[in-house]
Amino acid sequence: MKARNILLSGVLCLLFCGPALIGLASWGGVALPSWLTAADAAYLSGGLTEADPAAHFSVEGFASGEFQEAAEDAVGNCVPLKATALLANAAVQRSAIEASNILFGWECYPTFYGSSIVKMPSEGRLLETAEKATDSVRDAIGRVRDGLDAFGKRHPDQRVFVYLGPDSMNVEGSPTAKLVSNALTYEGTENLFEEHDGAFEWIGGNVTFDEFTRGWNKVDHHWNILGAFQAYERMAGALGFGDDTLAPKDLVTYDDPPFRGTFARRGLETAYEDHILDYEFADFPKFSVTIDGAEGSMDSLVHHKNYEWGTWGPNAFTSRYAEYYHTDYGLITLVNEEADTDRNLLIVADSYSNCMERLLAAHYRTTYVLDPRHDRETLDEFLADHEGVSDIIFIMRSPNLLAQATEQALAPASAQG
Amino acid sequence: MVFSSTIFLFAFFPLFLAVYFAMPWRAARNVALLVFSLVFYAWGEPVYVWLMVGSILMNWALALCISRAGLRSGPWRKLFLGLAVVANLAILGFWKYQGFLAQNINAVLGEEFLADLQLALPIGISFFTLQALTYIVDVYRGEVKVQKNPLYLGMYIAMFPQLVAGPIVRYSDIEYEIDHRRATLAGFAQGLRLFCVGLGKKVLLANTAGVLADSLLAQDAATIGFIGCFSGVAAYTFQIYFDFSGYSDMAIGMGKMMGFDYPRNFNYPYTARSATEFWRRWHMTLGGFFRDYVYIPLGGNRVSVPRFIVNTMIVWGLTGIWHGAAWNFVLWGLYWGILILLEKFFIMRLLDRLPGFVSHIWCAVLFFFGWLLFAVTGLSNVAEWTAALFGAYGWLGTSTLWELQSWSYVSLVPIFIVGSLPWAPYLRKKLEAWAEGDSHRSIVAAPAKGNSAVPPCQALCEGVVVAPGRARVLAAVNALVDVALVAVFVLSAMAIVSSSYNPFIYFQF
Repeated sequence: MKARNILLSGVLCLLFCGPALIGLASWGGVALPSWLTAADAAYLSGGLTEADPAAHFSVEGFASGEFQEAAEDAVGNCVPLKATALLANAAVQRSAIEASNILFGWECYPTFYGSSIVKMPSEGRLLETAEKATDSVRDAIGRVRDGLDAFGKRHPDQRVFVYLGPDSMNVEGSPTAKLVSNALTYEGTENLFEEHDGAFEWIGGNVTFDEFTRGWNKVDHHWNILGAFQAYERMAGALGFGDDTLAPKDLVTYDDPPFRGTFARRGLETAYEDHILDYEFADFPKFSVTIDGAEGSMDSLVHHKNYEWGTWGPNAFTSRYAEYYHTDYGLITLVNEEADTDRNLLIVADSYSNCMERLLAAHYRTTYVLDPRHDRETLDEFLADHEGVSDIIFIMRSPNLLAQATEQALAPASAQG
Repeated sequence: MVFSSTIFLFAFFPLFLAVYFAMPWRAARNVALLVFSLVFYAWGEPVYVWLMVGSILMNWALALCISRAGLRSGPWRKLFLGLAVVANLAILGFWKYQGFLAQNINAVLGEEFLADLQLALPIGISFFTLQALTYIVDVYRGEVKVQKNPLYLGMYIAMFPQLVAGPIVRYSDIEYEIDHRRATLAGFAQGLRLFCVGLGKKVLLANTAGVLADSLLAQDAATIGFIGCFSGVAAYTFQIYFDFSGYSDMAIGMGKMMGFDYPRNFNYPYTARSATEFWRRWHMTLGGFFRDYVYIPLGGNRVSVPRFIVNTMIVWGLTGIWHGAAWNFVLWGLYWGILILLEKFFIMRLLDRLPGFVSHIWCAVLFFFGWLLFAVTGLSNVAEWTAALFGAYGWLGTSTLWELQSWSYVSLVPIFIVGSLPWAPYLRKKLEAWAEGDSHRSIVAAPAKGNSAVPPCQALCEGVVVAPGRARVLAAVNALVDVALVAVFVLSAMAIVSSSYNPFIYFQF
């Protein structure tokens, strides 16, 4: 009995002291593998928080709660095997959900209790649970629609287009839309947007679920190059370049690295993975590139050379979409040095455009890519500063098109505080 | 700070254990326990720690005054007792009920007669106030000696394992242990085992049930219909039991590690066959407090029937309002009071004659509607939920079965049910009987104190003369139990690291 008590107490006390041991090792400069520390979990839990409890170790720091917050963050940063813990906990919960689903046979089920990401084994993919068409969502659609109308009327010399990128929540035949009452479908959203006054043009972007399975990543919310190119063709048609669209020469698939995107991260499920696809084009124009005011190059927007050389981030949950194409910037300017037109384009977009802005830019002299989430100026202000923009196109998925940042970007300059 | 948080599990508690056991003298350990308890309390609410310190000093001084004021019947003793009781209740009343009182008075008068100060509720105030009251009254009654050392009294009132959610430890429970407790390896290991059991109940069972309960209880009855309302209350029924009893297990376990023997707080309440029995098994230390410090002083059951009914309803009204400053808690308390009276005068004789399963079903219905009153805030919402449970909004309301998510918990229902049943003490007794070579030994009820709440991991075959040839099997079972407990700890730690959902329901009281 004594040996049993000693063993149990020793093991549990060791577990209690795990983070302290990791913290001491880090403090002592011992290089620990990332899987043993909390480093691998950085992408899963939203990153490591910088924590310095010593800086707040005072009566004032304690009274304000800053010391406590820093201490809690510091302990969280030292939890051993944190990524394994996160994934294993979700796997345990998922196994209980799967056991329950034997009785019900749902096509999709949550990846853990409370998760908005669902697993669809028959398609080997993860999806987002459909959003509900609540009154507040309908109001948001109405506000953005009216904002677009008003914006279009203030700029009669420019053509304004809107392309709503479908996603797993609203695509036609979305399996999760069938499971939720009053789901916000692509068609429903489109119908509400089409009640506009004609100051902008809506480009239908809906796809069938079969097209979706080919053109969208399995474990990430972004489209792949196939879905993006299909959208590009529709946009090019609406913009008047339907007979002059780019023709891909070859489809490149990067088998490495495996891509576990937002759904895998948020759903804590590693059963499926994607791979980066990209098109090669025969005669692609040369661009000079400026990113947030600094000089860049096309290699800053499409990192194919890195992938050809086998250079990528070590974390399994790195967003390969952002790594291969590029992360989100406030303003990118692409100048087509070979253009035979003086028309300029403004793309107002979220990350959906990261893989395809170069395709549209091939048809214009100068293309501006503005992300309202990262650039706070209104579009009125932008157009006042950048003359010669003939076309404006919004390329976003629903959560970003209906976000406050988009409403603010559309507001008249005088309305901005 | 909650027990099931990374900061407590991986920093505060190991640091406390290291400091506590590094102290060579009991006096120093008592002071270390007080200091860590105050830090524990101040962690979330730095300002209210002064309220706690003030309460400690006030009760220490008034108890000294009571003890030095002459004979038990002396007027000064009564005066100091009255002062202490009023002061403690005033602290509780002001911080817990000021807003409730102001809202109701203003609603009756139709004007802003009393300002609602919107005070934040100091964590654990309901618990430490009752503990202080038991000390004061017991000193007055001469049942315990006055504690002259304010640090020791502070340690008792502020002791972090049971500070914020019980069990309500009376001073008499630990009076001897303050000066004479012995921390042993066996006690330490037993405490750790119980801590693991409690942590697993809280993190693996209560929190999981809580995800469903919170999601459904936040919705309108008309939206989720019968299935949503039923599964919401059912999930809450399991959540509150595993949450609260898990917390109590952890508290008792930590006390055990230090050599304290806290009273048991739960004895498998969902196995009760009547409302009366349920309250002998649920939050036992609260029931004991109201019995000994309210009900019996009011005359108990040695009074006329009308007076008995009034006494009973006073106790249950107080029990309800103690849980929270809202009418639904008062209604909840009165609900149980009325049921207990009905059982005493009418139903109990009938229940005794009925088969066991019928009385269990009766009780399940009582628990269910009791927790409905407890969990659903607002009397109009309670009415809507009750209507939904009688089919007013159909099976699903305006939702789909899938989105209610109740279906995904079907596989966990057997685990929740098994976790609520006393299989562990049953198996322990069976195993002990087998080990002794007595296969006919009767299964006795678990005793009511401290570690009897522990499953077979603890006292298994301690003090039992093991029959020849059976020691190896017992050793193997013991080892398996310990492995299972370490696994529970690891799984719980994984869930804590993963989850931002970690409320302790009883913190709000």
